[in-house]
Amino acid sequence: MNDVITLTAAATALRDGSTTSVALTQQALARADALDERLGVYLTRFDEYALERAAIADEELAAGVDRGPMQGIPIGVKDIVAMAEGPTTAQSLVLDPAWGEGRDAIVVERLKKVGAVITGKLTTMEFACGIPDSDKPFPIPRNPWNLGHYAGGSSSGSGSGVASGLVFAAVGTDTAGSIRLPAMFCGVSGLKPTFGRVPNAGCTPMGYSMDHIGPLARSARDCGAFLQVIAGGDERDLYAVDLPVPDFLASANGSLEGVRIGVARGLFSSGDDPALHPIFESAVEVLEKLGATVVDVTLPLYEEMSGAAFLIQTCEGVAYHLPDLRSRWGDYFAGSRQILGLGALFSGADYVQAQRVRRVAQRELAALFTGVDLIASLGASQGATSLAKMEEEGNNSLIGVLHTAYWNMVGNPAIVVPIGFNASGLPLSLQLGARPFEEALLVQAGDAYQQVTDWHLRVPPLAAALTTL
Amino acid sequence: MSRELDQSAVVDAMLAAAGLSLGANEREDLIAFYAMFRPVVDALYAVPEARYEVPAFVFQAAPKLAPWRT
Repeated sequence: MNDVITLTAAATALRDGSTTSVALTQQALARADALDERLGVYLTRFDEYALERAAIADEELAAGVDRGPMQGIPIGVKDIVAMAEGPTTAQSLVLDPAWGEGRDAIVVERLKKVGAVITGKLTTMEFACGIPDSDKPFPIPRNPWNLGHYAGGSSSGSGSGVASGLVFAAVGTDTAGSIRLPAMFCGVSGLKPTFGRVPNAGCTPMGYSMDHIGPLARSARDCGAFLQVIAGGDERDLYAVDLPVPDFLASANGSLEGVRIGVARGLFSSGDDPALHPIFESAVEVLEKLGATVVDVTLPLYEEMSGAAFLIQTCEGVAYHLPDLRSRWGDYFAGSRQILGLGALFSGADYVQAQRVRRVAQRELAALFTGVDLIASLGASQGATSLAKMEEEGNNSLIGVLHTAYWNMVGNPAIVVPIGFNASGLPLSLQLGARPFEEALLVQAGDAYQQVTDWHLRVPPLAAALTTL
Repeated sequence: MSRELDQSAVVDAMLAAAGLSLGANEREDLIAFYAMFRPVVDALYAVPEARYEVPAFVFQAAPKLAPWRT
């Protein structure tokens, strides 16, 4: 596989003349030709469009028109996010094709404006919900480290595509972990921004008050460059916040001097992957060596937020889906039906109470953040789940695996970065959370870690076996 | 026994109110999951700090009125 595998390295290569956007795009498409039938990354490919956009990027760069590091970079878009060039299916038989027809989501508008080369729409779980369903006519997203294991969801194609080099980065979405889980399972970096940092308009909703759009990419630095393009308010999005967008890479200087990190070891469990705790502690040691001060913390109302997260997203989701659930129940994936069906079982008072307790958690977490700048924790308790287990146990196969929804509930940003592998060769990760709108500190910390480690540069064997064009 | 019947009754009533009709296996799975999850929801009412808290959503009297899609 080509030496240039990070977005930011590709951006440098484009500018020093050692590659072109057309070459990068051709390589990406060739990898898709070679691997996608096994991986299940794409739902729709835009090969001709992508090569046209790549040629334009090359012309512009040659003419001195520099739109920033995303220019000329092959990327993918999760297929719950609308793009005018092709259909948006939400990986479902149910979504009305007219919903997104001929339209770009705001994030897609912004990526096009800077000359990113969108190669296609990527696999997701149905409406960003549930798990794969072999009874439905859609690809099963497979983990590039082990094809018998799950790529993670719901931004499955985004995680798998980045890990296997089909794209340099991808748009993902995260309602309870759907950027971070595929990033963790596939061994790449994933950044859930602050709620409202990135406009959601043009994305099918799963949980209106919990949905976040953000990047998956090889590195934290790549995520920062990607976020730089898609962040910012917009009058067409009710939840998008009109705050100035900082330079997310400005403080990525390789040092964590002066940064206080709280470590939430209370999430450790005896059922965790045996390799995970030592690897996690090694990663924390690296952060200390980079200058961070580390203390123990406890995430306030963690159990309450985990329960409330499920209640809120299922209630918000079922409100959106109820007409279709009534008339097209069987067209939904089995896992989606179970999750959305649960949303119908709770009362309005239950929903409001969950939102009240959510506010308490925000207050208490804000108090915790007066003593620390970042909080480190597990993002997942295991490496990627086997597809056989998911087929047998359904949604239950992921119970107890995820430690991601807390950050959706409080709205703070969170990033995951790979920190090693388990005994089966599956990636393991560290999660960092920050104060609202302090994504730059997450990028700084993730980048500092990745300047002295190389887990984020590891390539799955099936992708590494491909020869460079 | 009666608590189990209550759980089934709740699930059946709420599904009927929502206009949803499930197969037997899915209904049983949903009842089991609801029985497991209902105590989690009930525990939210027992958080003392939430007694006088306001919900984490705000109705805007003057919202943005330029939708992405009409």
